[in-house]
Amino acid sequence: MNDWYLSNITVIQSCLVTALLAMSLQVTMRVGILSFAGVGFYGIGAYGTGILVLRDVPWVAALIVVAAACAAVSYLMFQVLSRVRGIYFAMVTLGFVLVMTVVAANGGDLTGGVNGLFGVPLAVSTTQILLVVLIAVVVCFVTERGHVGRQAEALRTDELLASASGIDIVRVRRLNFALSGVLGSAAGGLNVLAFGTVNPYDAGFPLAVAVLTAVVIGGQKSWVGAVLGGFLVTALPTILSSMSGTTRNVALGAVVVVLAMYAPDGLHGIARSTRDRYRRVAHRTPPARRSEKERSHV
Amino acid sequence: MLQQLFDATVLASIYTLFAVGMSLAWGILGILNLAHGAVLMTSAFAAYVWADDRGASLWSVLLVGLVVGGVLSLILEAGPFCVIRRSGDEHEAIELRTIIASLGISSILVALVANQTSNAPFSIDTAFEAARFEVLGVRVGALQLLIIGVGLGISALLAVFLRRSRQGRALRALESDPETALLMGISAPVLSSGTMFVSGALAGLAGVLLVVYLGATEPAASHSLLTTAFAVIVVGGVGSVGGAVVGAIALAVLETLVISNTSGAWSPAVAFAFIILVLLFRPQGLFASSRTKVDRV
Repeated sequence: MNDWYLSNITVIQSCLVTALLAMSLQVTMRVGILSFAGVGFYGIGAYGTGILVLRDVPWVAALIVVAAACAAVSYLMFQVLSRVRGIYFAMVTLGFVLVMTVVAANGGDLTGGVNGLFGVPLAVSTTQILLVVLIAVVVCFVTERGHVGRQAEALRTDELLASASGIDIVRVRRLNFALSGVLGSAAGGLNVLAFGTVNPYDAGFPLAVAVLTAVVIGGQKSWVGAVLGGFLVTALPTILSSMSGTTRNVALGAVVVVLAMYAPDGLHGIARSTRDRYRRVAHRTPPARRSEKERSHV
Repeated sequence: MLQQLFDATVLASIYTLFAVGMSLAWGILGILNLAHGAVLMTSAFAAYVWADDRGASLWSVLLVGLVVGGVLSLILEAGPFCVIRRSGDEHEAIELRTIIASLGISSILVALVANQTSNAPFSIDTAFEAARFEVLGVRVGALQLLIIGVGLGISALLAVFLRRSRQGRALRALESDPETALLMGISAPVLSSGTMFVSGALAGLAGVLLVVYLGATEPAASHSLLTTAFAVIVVGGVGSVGGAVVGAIALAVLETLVISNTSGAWSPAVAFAFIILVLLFRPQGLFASSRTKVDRV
């Protein structure tokens, strides 16, 4: 066990970070908006934490300060962003990600330009990353249940109806957007503290696509899907180490296309519907079989 | 200065060809095809394979790009996009699923092309000898003139087709009210396949012209092209041909100005700063033609 852990420590840490980042995208998708802003905040988190730690700020303080700053920025940002919706929202936030990439590449000595930051002290252990992920899971879990959870569900399924039943759409979305900023920045900060480097292209278009892939594969309705997808997308290519980069991208792309076509709620959605079907079969006379009989009589 | 404007116009023509197909698919069919950049790259790559050391003429290369792009888009429409549209989901959910599927397709195509070229830039060798001459101190090549001609010519043809022809009117009917259009006997499958074929063919054409004009392109450039096209569409208004032309010119001029006045490192941000500003202050696009688009924003 210990040997296995030591030889796979990089993969385990990446899995945790990706899961956190996937949750950051999922918390916006659960209130019905496709936002890539989490990836932008991942970049800000990585750079912010890296820059502070390089200037001898304790890493816990750096992580918290940057996450708080990202919460404030994303909260204010949504104030403006709430004017655009649907596809446009996705593209504006993708724009935010790409502009951040260019800003980081042009940041001079502060961000290390195109080469990025090097030699950030490796401060966190796997247990500490796991702890942050668990906190995030608890927050997502709690906000997915009860009153708050039902509000989100209503918003995702029918915006107009949700607004008509007295839900403050902008407020709910704004809070989830801010949560997305915090989760994204925490993922970025932990990543730089675990691996010591960050460059402008780490948090660009490919990462945005990869994280969206993770959420789509896992399932966008619940944090379970985000965590599952984050783990799968990061770990599978390493486990199947014979896979080349091309095969990996083609396989992941194909899975995304098939899921978008036939199972938009991902693996979590599939698991859930299978479970429901199984329960129905176990507890009652299967309605499906009866109706089949009736059909054969007709 | 004049030279820069001329170069910007050439670039704008390529942007227009690329963006106008994406804009039509989005406006008429509600498909925001994020695989459009990958279609461009794949067709350009097919043209590169075709032209490989055989001294192919420019025309044959353009034709290969056009056909490959068109057929590829047709396959996407017949496969994933059609399945998603018919799944009976909510309108917004369908839009979202289409985007996600097209992102998946894009990563498949780009990975395949990148694998074949080992991620390096590739160029298309043609037997085309570009004549060069100087007008008013501006260096002008025959290739550049061809690109501008093709870009403006095809845009004009498309605009006239959409305004005047029977099929063009049918398409616009489909855009503003799909249900009523179907009741009037308009065949949606035929028209959407046609639209996607034209959209892909124009992307293929733009891809070949771009690679021949720039000399070489790397597969990963399809991402930045996609953002450029999105900026053009947002500025010009979804589904508008004239808007796409104006948007492409505005963006190309702005990019050229930024490149020549700064170190050039900021130019990738131009398209997106543009998108963000336009969407925040005038979400229906600077040149939106009708009220229906406002509802969609």
